[in-house]
Formats: sequence, structure tokens, C-alpha cells
Amino acid sequence: MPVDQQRFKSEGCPNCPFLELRGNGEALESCTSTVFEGLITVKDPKKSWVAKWQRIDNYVPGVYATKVSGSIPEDIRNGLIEDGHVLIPYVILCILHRRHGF
Amino acid sequence: MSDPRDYNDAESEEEDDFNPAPADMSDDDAKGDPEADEDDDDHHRQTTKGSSPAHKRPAAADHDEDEDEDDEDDAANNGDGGGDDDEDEDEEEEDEEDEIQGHRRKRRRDKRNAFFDIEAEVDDEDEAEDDEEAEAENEGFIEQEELGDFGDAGRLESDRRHRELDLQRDRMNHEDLQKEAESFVRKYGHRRHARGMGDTTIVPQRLLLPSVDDPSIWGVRCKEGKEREVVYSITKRIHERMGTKDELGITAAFERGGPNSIYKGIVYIEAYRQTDILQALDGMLNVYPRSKIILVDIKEMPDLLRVQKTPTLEPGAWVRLKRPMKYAGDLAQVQDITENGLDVKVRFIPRLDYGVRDDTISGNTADGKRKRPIMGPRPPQKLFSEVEARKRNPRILTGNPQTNAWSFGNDYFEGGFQVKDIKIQHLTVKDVNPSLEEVTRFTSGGEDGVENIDLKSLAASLKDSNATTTYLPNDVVEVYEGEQKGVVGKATQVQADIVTLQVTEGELVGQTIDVPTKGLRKRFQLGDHVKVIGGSRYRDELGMVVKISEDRVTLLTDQTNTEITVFSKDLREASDIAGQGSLGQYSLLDLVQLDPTTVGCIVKVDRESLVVLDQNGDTRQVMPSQIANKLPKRKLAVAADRTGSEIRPDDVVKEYGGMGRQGKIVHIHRSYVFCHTHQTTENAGIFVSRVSSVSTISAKGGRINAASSGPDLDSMNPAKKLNPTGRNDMPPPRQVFGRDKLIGQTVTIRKGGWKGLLGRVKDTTDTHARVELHTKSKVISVPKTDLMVRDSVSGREIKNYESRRPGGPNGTPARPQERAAPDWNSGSRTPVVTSSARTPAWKTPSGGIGGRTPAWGRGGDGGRTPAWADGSRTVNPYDGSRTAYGSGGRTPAWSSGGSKTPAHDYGSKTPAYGGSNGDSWGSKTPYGASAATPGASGSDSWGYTPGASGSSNAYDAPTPGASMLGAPTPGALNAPTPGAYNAPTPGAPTPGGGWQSGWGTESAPTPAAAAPTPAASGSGYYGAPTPGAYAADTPGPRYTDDD
Repeated sequence: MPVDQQRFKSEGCPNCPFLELRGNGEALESCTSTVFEGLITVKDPKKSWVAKWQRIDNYVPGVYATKVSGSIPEDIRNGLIEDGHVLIPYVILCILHRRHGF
Repeated sequence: MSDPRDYNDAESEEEDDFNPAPADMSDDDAKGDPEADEDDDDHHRQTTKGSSPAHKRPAAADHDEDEDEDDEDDAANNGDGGGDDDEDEDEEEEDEEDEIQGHRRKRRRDKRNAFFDIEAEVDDEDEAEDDEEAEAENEGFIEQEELGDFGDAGRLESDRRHRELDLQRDRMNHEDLQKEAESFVRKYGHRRHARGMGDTTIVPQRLLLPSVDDPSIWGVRCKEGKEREVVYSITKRIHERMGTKDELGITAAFERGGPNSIYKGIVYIEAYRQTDILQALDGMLNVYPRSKIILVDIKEMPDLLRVQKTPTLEPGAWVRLKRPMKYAGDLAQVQDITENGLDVKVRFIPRLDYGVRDDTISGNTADGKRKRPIMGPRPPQKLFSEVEARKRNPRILTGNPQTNAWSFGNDYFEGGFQVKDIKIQHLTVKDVNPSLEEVTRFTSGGEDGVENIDLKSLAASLKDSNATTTYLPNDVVEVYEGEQKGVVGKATQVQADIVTLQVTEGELVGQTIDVPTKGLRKRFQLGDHVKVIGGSRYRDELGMVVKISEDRVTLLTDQTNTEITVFSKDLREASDIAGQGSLGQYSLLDLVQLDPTTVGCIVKVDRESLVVLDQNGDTRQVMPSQIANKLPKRKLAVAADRTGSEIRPDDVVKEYGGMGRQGKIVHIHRSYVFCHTHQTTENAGIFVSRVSSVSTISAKGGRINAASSGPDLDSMNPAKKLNPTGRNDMPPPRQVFGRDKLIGQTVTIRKGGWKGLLGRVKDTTDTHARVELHTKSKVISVPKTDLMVRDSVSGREIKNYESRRPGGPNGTPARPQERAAPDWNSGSRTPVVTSSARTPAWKTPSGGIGGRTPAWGRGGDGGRTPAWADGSRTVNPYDGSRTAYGSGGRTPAWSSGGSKTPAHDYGSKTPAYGGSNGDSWGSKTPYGASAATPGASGSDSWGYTPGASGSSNAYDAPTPGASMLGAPTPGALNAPTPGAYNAPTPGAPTPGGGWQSGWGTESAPTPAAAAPTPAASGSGYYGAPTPGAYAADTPGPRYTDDD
């Protein structure tokens, strides 16, 4: 299903640089999920209400999902909190997206 | 300030203010700017309009931490009088700014937008997004202002000058501002970074609701199941045409497909214009933009993207499998969940055929055909069996018998269950509704059945499904979730999952509100009488609410008085009381056949099992399927109790001995009675007993029964026991065998309304006779005692008709009469009988049967024998009976006793005995002599030693009598009957002496010498009492038997 997994792997998530997914297969594996519902492709996040509603209007155009199942490993989650990231469920959700940026 | 938590606070403030703008503005910013705004406003109103912009700019750049600059600004704006105020207000408003910040900011920005283009330079850093979002408002405001401006040329001119001045001042301050900006970045740079994520997340979603300015969403038909493909295609097209002149006009596209989705077959495209969609989808596969395109209403847009919360799985929860196909729909229990939450380790009951079908499958593939799905019924669910696996396919079986963990092929089994990692999407986690039966199978591996079901995990599985929850009008319900939490009301209407409530408590009293069932639960009060309606294994139980904790309600069941805890959703107010008590065709107190030799009475009915008290007094829990059949209740069942009187269902009987329970007969089955007592609730008050060990207390409907008076008090009377009258109260024959001789006799009635009438007995019961009157063609029922038997020919009265009949009734009211008959009593009433009748031996289990023990037999059965009868009629009953006995078992009773009693044989064979046959004392003389022989003692001692045996007690008790030359001993010694003993010859002393010595010396006397067998003792006694009685009572043999 992930059409762009390779690229995702090589470049990391354009929205979540702090996850340092680039070239980090393990982190990629643990921070992404293949279980999702509701595929969304966003061309213009700034204009799109869908993107706004999904709170991805600050992200790059790409493919997102309405819902992703899964959870972030405890250590990474703790690390994110320490770094001052406000971890609300949505953030977790976004992290778990396996995005396919352009 | 750089603490992220501070930042969070700021966020929450903003949320409170409903300010859609991100919290970009720092506190300092807020402090500085707003009051400047205030000032500006004032100036606008109080002074000329032209003067206000002049200091606007500096005010905007105002900062707490930069007081110098502040002063500078003030100085630059001399005459405007705002500088002082600035500072004052500054401090004052610091406190208030939380509340009014948003409001002021709005005003401020509106103004600024009206007058300053340059503002962007400063605000850009902080409020870029703000501006974007507030654009609409701002524009509107500007328009207004401008309209006013154009209307007044002078003002326009002053405006222009103000602007110029402002620009000038800005240029002057530019450097400072840049420095400031840098310091901002320094200070909040880190925070900003975090905000990169946070900005969008903190805005309440309700403020993101779509507006008319947002692009519209259209639903476009597409092929079902291809929704995602279409979205990917669109993605691809967007990518391809990015930056070209054909760039797509749409902003986003999404699908909400899925097998169970109501949105399947549609992709949704977000765009400003419908033509953009047509352009974007033109020529695309699987999507049909040419057909109807549905415009989604703005109000419905958020619904399209609504996400249903995934139920969180926890170990122990129940799920259903979707894959592998073989197990589709099977219940499984979550054991573990992988870290990423995608795979779930579940255990379930395997459906194994141990490779039986493998051949056929491989055969198919060998044909080059595609592997067909397994045809035919799938194997039944069955726990993994190592034996089976070994038998079928030992090569692929590995494992550890200790832990009972096996792997068979690619499957892994633990404790009989298959354990497998399954992807979460291959599980049904919602609406699992595990039935108790299924759940029991998971726990019954432990053999202890339902006991260890984790109600909590079951609850978690059940909770999500409201399918089983039913609300009915008049249910009192409580809202426990959502904004109306705490509202209590009465359901007035239920439509699908919406319940209309009439609020009965709280602020909303009297109002009617609609609430989804999701947030509802039923409300009960302590003491309510409720019924369990479903979802729980206690279904159909009724009880009283004794405890309520959240949605868990504890009740005390009506039927078993046990406490059970169920969910309030599974309860209903009940109007009926414990009506439960049937499961299928079986209901409480039914008599059922468990196996060919066992019957039982149902004493408890559970939801899916029954508790049965079987004929042996054991209770067992059975499933209805384990019951062979139900025995119909036989209302006419008859049995004889221990006294021989008939007992029927509904009679009240009492156990003789044992626990002495008393109860009403529910069932009679063969020789068992199931009785119901109110004295205990154990087994629903049911106990089982043998018919022969119960005696009637009262018969149903006052039916006159032989033993209706209960136990025979006569036999308990110590006075009679000692035989003071010398009368023999040995029970006479107690059973009528065959046809009652009274039938057909001509009788006259002695009492009552029919007194004096002549008639013929047509039929009899124990106590009554039905008499056909000669005078009148009528049959009446008359107590037998009121009848006088007459000779049918002569009409002469036949006295003692009954006693002349050997088979006269026993224990009937007629009995005293019989006793009164001298000829009957004199002989037969030997003390032995009475004593033996009361010996503990008699009460021993075997004795309980009475008729079967020799002692009893002698008294009862023996009594019936002609031999006995003969003996009893002899002038010297003692001799007579002795003769009878001595002669060796002429009576069946005797022989039966004798066969067991060596004594008898011995006695009859002993020359001494035989010799003495004619003379009782003579017989004892040699006996005494022989008793002197050594070695006799062993076997004999028991007879004389108190307590040596139960049966000998009867003799021991009277032992004092022994010293009185035996006569007084009621037992054996007395047995010789006064007649026999006293009367006899002078020789008596001799034997008496010997005898006495026998008693006195205890051991010496034993005739055991003569007969080393225990029987010897029999013979030892034999001299004393009526031998028959003695022998019959002989503890020796019976003793051994008992042991």
C-alpha cells in the first residue's frame, strides 16, 4: 500500500524532522503504521478545509489518513515530551502516518 | 517564559477566549500593544483623528522590557498625553489582560490594518497566521474606515500626514525593532519550534468548522472497493501536473471507504469549483465524475471526516476472528498486543483435523488447479490433543508435555488453545457479544467451569456494544456521559438509539431531552426489585438491588439468596417475583433420569445448567443435555413406609433415625422418596430418603393411615419394656398378605348411623371396610373396628375374627385388641422380643430394615410362622418355643437366622443341648459343665461384657439381674421366662449355679469350650433365654456381618 515507502525511508518525514526517521529503519518501523482508514490526498494544505480540519494545514502536500491505528513506542514518546513537544493525540496520529510526500 | 508549560497556559487561555488565532503573540507583546490601542481609541474620539496614527506605531512597538523605548515614544508624542497613561494602564492591565486580551487585540489590529502597511514587518513574525485568518474581518473594517475617510477630505489629509510621520518614526525605530525581533527569536525560538507542531493542535476543532469561504466538497461515485486507488490516482495526477498549466484546481481528495462504511463507493473531492473536479478526474479509471456529483452540505462536512474511536484492546478482552477463514467468527481472547498495536496475540479453540484433509488439498493443487477453499464443514472446535496429533502427523509435532505447549506444523498451541499473532484488522473487536457458552469453553480448560471468568474483561467486550441494551418507556435512566451528564429522567420514547427523556431531577426538571443511548445507563435504587434481562450469565435471575457502584449493580437473588453483580444495562425493574425455575423442559423439583440407575430431583435451575439431587443424596451440576429424560410426576405413586403404611406424594413423613428430617413427599421413585422441607434451604429444601426409613406423620387429605399416630409409643414405653405384666407385646404379624379375609364376610355395623345394619364386606383398606348393606343397595365405608363379623349362615357373631386370622393386621388400631387376647400374648410376649426390639443392634442399619434381622425377624416374621404360632400357643411357651427352635429351624425365620448363626447349628447339634431338649434345666447343666471348660471364654465374653457389642447391650443392661440368678435379666436371662426358670425342677439351681457362675465369672461360663465358634456364645445364651430369640439375636454372626 505505501507507494512511497522507499522515499519515506530515505528522506524521513517532511513534517516531523524531529523524529529523525531518515535512514533510520528501526525508528521508521516503530513510528509508522500501516493500519489506517480514510485516505486523504492534499494538494493545497493552506487552502483546503479538509487539511485544516485534519490539522495538517501546516504540512506538506501529500497523502494522509483520517485515522491511524497504532501507538508510539514509550521511549520515543518520552523523548518527544522531553524535547518540549506537546504530545496530544493528534500529534501521535500524525507521527504514525506513513506519509507519501511529493 | 521559555518553559513549555507556560506556553501551554497561554494556549489554554486562548482557547478560553475562543480566539482562533494561534498564540503567537507573546505576553509582552500583548502588554505593550493593547494599552497603546486603548490610547489610540481615546485619541480618536477625543482629539483629532489625525493625531492618533502619529503615535500608533510607537505604541505598537511598545514593550515592557524596553521601558526606555517606551519613554522615548512618549516623548516623541508630546501633547498627546497618552504616555503617562500608558504606563499606568500598563500595570493595571497586566492583571486583566488575560480576560480581555483577545478582544483588545482584535481592535488593535483592525486599527492598525487600517493605517499601517508597515505593520506587517513587525507583526509578521508573530502574527502572520493571525492575519491570514482574520483577513476577512480586517478587510471589512478597513472598508468602513475608508468610507468615512473619503467622506471627509480634511481627515484624509491629516491621515496622510500621520502616515508620513509614522513612516518616519518607523524608520527611526526600525533598528530597535529589529533588535527586538532578534531578542524575540532568541527568547521564543525554541518555543516556536515546538509550536510548529502545536499551532494547529491547540485550536478547538469547533472553530475549524467549515465556512462558506472554504472550498466545497463533492462526492463523486466510484467503483466500490477502489476508493483508495482513486485517491492514489488523484495524488499521482496532482504530482504530475504540479507546476504545469494543467495544474489541478482541487485542494484535496479523500475517501471514507471500507467494507462496512456507509461512504463506500464514493470519493470526496475538495475544490472551489465543480469544473475543477471534472478536470481533475477526467479520464481516470474507476471513478465516474460524469454521473451525479453530490455537493456535500457545509454542515455535513465534518461528519465526513469523523473518526470513530478505535476500541482499545486489552489482554483478556474478547474478539472475533476474521482470518484465517477457517476460524471466521470464532471467539478469541486477546493475550497480548504488540508494541505498535498492530498485531494481537490471541488464543482460540483450534479447529483441527490433524491433517486429515491435507491430502485432498494437495491433490487439488497437484492437478494444477488453484487451491480451493476447504470444502465441507469446517472441523469442530476442539482443544488441541497431543494424542491425536501424534497419531496423525507425528513428524510435525514438537513440544513440551510439561508446559503443554506444542507446535504442530506452523501452529502453536498452549494448553490446548491455539495461540497466534493476528493483525488487528483481521479481528472484530466491536460487537463481539461473547456468549457465556463460548466463554465457558475458554475457561473450562481448568475444569472449574465458569468460576474464573473475568467479568471485567467480559464487561469490556460487552460494553462497547449497546446492541443488547434495551430501553423501554418508563425506564428510569441517567446520563453519565457528555454535557448532560448527571441528568436523571424517565424514558418516554425510544427510537433506535435515541431516548427521549422526561427529566425528573436536577435543573432541567420537567424538560424533555433527547439523548443517545451511548451515554445512558439505567438507574436503580437500593431495594428495587429487578430482573436480569441479558448479556450476563445471570439472565432471568430476579433479585433486590443491594448495592450500586457506577454502572455495576449488586443484587440479592430471590432464588438462591446469593449476591450477584451485573451491569445496570442488563437490568430491568421487575414486577414479578422469582418466576424463574425452568430450563427447557426441565423445571425446579422435576424428577429426572440421569442414567439408567440414577434419578434425581432438580433443586436449582441456572441459566444453562441444573443442579440435581440424586437418589444417593449427592448433588451434581448437569447440563440439560446430560439428562436422559424427565420422569413424569406420578401422583398415584404409592410406597410403604417403615411401618408398612402406605405413603403417597404430598404426605408428610419423617425420617426415622438419620437426621430426622421431616418433609412433604415430592416424588416417590422405587424405594426412594424425595421430600421437601421448609426447615432448610439447602438443595431448595429437598432431601432424599428411603421409603423404608421414613414414617408417616400425616397423610394428605387426612387419609387414615395405619401409622398416622407416628412412631409406636407402646414400644417406647419402658414399663412395657420390662414386661411387668408378663404380657408379650411382640409385634404380631404386621402385614396382610393376600386377600383380606374380611372381604366377603357378613358383618354388622356396631356404631354410627348405620349401626345394627347387616352387610357384606366388599373391599377393605388397612382400617376401613366398604360394606354393602343388605337392607339398602348401598356401599358404605366403615371402620373395621366398628364391624362385627357374623357367620354368613347362622348369623352368629364370630369373636376375635381378626386374631384368628394369622395374618391379622399389625400396628393397626386393632392391635390392642389382639394384645388383649390372652392366648395370644401369654406365650409370645417374651421379653426377649421386646428387648431385642430395642437393642441397638436393631437400630443398626441392617436392623433398620427390621424384618431382615434375625431379631426382628423373630419378632416379626418369625411370629408369623406357623411354628411360632404353634409355639406361642403351647401351654409352656418357653418350652414350646424352645422345642420349636431346638428342633432346628422348623420355622423359616429360624432357619434363616440359623443359617447365619452358627450358634444355631451348634445348638442343635450339641449333644448336650439335644439331650436337654426336653428339660430346659437339664440342658443347662451339661452346659454349665461344658462352660467350665477352658477356652470357652473367648467367644463368650462378648456376650457378657458390657459394651462388647452393640447387640449385647440389651443383655448387659439388665445384667444386675444376673446375680439374681439370672431371672431378672430381661434379656437372655429373662428370656427363659419365669415359667421356665422358676418353675423348673430343683435341678434348676444347679444349672442356675453353673449359669450364675457363668455370669459371675464372666468368662468361665462360656460354652465356647463346647463350641469354639462365636456361635458358642449363642449356645451360652441359649440356656438362658428362649433359644430362638437368642440365636436370632446372636450378635456373634451378625456382628461379623456388620463389621
